[in-house]
Amino acid sequence: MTGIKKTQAKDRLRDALGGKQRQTLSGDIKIENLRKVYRTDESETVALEDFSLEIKKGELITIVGPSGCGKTTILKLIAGLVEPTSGTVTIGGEVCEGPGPDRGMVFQDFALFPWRSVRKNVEFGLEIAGVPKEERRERAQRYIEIVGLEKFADARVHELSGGMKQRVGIARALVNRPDIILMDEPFGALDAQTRNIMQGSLLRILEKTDQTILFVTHSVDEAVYLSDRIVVLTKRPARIKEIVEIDLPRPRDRASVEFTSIRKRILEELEKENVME
Amino acid sequence: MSGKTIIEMLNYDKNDKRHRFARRAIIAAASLVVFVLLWWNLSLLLANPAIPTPQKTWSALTYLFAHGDSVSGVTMWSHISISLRRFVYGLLLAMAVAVPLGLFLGYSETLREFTMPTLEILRPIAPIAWAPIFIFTTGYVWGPILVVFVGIFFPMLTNTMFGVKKIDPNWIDAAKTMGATRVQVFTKVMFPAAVPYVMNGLRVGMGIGWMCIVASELYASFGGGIGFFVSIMAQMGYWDYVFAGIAVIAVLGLLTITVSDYVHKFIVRRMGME
Amino acid sequence: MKLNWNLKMWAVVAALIVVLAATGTVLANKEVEKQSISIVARVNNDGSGIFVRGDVNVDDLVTIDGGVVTYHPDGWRDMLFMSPGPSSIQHMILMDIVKKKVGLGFVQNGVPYTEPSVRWTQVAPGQMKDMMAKSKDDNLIHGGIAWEPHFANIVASGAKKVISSSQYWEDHPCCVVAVNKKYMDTHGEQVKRFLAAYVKSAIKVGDILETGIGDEYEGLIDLVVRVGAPKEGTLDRNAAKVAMANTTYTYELSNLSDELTKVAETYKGLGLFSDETLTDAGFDGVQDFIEYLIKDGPLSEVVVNDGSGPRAKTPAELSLSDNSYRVDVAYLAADTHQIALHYGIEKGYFQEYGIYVNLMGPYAAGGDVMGALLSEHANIGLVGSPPALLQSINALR
Ligand SMILES: Nc1ncnc2c1ncn2[C@@H]1O[C@H](COP(=O)(O)OP(=O)(O)OP(=O)(O)O)[C@@H](O)[C@H]1O
Ligand SMILES: [Mg+2]
Repeated sequence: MTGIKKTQAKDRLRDALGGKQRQTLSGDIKIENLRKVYRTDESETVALEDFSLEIKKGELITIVGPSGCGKTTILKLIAGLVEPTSGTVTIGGEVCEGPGPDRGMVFQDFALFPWRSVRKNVEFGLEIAGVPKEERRERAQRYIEIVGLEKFADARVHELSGGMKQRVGIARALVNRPDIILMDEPFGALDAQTRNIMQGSLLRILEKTDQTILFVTHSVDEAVYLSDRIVVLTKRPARIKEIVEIDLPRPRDRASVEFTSIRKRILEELEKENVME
Repeated sequence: MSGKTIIEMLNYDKNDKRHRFARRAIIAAASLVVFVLLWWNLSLLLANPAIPTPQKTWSALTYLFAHGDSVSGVTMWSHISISLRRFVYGLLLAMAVAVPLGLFLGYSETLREFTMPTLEILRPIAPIAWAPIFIFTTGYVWGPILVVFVGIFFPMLTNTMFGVKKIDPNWIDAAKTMGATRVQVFTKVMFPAAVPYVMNGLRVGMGIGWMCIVASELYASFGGGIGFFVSIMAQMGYWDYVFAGIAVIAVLGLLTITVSDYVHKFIVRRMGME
Repeated sequence: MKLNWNLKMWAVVAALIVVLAATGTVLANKEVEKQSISIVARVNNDGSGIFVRGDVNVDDLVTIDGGVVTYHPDGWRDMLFMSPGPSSIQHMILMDIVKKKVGLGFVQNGVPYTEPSVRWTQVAPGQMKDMMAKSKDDNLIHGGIAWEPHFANIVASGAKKVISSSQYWEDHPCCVVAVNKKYMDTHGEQVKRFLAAYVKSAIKVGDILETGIGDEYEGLIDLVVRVGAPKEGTLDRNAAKVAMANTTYTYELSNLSDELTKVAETYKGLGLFSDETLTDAGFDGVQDFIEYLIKDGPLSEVVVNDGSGPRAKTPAELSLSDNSYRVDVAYLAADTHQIALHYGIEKGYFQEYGIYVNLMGPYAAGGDVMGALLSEHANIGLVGSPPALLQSINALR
């Protein structure tokens, strides 16, 4: 599906194609009236209700919301790993029916293959795509370096800390250069220091590409630092409470007045959602 | 060696690996000495020709390994290799069938529901009960191998199925988001993920399989083997040979179990799936 | 200096070892009576044969000229024969023929061999006919050796006769009546009664077979068909008649000593019996051992010859009391050598002598009958002489 060759910086691309004249691209996501109900023998859980959202190619969107509200569900619906109860997800003009390599995912609980080394985990997608061995190694090595795990390239998964595992998961998704990257709390297990470094790396990677990113986080600070738009969700069943556009220039200054005021506002919104009924 | 080091050596230090090993070895040796003495007393007490003394058994053993017996015309080594070969064939056959089948059945619920009634009927049948039928229908070469096959098949199958059911669904999801096809999910995720369970099935199966091979050879066989050796020697009343055969069976059984335990541990550790 | 040993436990272990060693030494020096058997009568001579598949040319194996058998090694080479099992006389005969007459090795099938050999494999005689039929397709088995009625029955079903066992060794001994030695010493009365009835039956069977015609003969053949086949209708009636004619029924012990010595010597030649074994068991030689086994006392007590040939004494002549006894008798499956036992039961001869025969078995091989005798599960057994010799010597060792 990667038909567009990257020629310009992402902001300029967006300007050029912006507005109504813009055609649908492989990185575009259109979510319409999505609803998801999980049914088990004992219970029914409405995880998502009346959820509509349009995401343009190259955008970085973060999703914040109370714990258990349905964030992972949204990502899995877009990934095509769960089927919507009603509503549609359209990717690049085509209704999504199942998973594909155009949408990479970083899993909340890493989902690494314990029988493979770090390197082999990162190479998995390339192996599937039939990339020759040499090139596979090279590309994997590059992403292992980006996430700072070159010393652990041949380690087994169970020898890694939680934070290291998460970075392997990120490298494993990024190395395939999907049009859309779905990241489920990818920095959740990292310490503040590493987290900041990783946020920087992520932005640098994205500068060079025009990948669309959907990013779930619990950290409002992170959301404000990274996003073009922040989607704030209600408690379960998740609906969109508010979409906040962040128009601050990058790299953003966490100490600036604008930054702190946006952060404060979103935190207040979330707190209201978290009040027990 | 100075007196001091001897005292030091006698002082048991449970944090020292060598001490722990020595302790285990001494206890094992004491246990074996008591066992042999009990056996000796029992055989003298019962004075039954079918329970020879340890000395007689030992000299029979050494004789059989060095010269063999005149009936089969071969040494104990040949009998061992014949039995082991059958055992390995049965084992490989069971793996070749049970592992893919277990993967499929673990994967597809419909297939599982369809085959389980039949399998559940067949499972409780003692493998050796098939011996007369297998030996008559497939001949003396394949008969004992098939008995081993049946013995190993079921533990292998159930463990593989269990392994597939225990697979973290996120692994499969992850593979799918990287573009894996159904076949690739099968070969690159489900199969390796099930390997530790397959190995566990192998471990259980090998113990059963070894019993099966001896039992089926006792029943009948085409061309020797340790079980057959025991049965013909019993027919002729060479009880010390019979006991020597039983001792060999015991040692080989112990070896197969030790080896499979070790392989299981090694692979599970290698795969980081402890 | 503190030693971290559990001294109490080790003291117990050491004490246990010392005690067991002591009791063992005491027991080892104690004389114990070992189980053995006595041979009190013969059952039959001859009555076995070697056969091959119908598509094998017998002339390639043997040519017979005026009773002289010539063996041709090239024809035998690499053939696979079925044997009832290594402890049987049939196995011994085949082994002896192959090794001494044909001049080839005799190896168990499946075992790799380099020198030219004939292969053998163990098959229960009752299954040999089926195996022969199957081998027409898979070409695995070429022939076999079996006792009657299987030999006659297999030949009747399309196989070819190579030689009968009497052509290799005329009047070779086969089955004998064996009694557990302890039982013999304590229950002489029962042994005598059993033997008298058995002799009566054996003589009667011999007489009927000599006539070879009439109701009594047909009645006997009925019994042979029933006894000789595990499943009804699998033994051909004519084959049964041939089988009976191939076998010599006798109870006499005369010459048995020499013949069993010959069997034992053959075994020595085949490596299954050694002087060392005999010494271990406390015998000066083969002769000494055979004499220990054969006990002709009871037989001479119950047989009388008053001119018209030998016969069993009547209960009155033996002045038997009215008591009746149960005797556990082990027998072989589908073996018409033992027909006199079944005939005697059918005709009530044993009852006449106050014996209720409790049949034990049928056992598949002579070795198992010997096992039953030596373990006192059976009092009396009809068994081939080779397992009788082998198991006895091994039990006495
Ligand atoms: N496979 C499933 N079967 C049944 N219920 C499910 C399933 N997956 C999720 N749910 C339920 O749906 C709701 C939303 O789950 P989801 O994982 O999307 O939440 P989340 O916002 O990602 O939570 P968290 O912040 O803990 O990651 C939860 O109540 C959860 O129990
Ligand atoms: Mg989640």
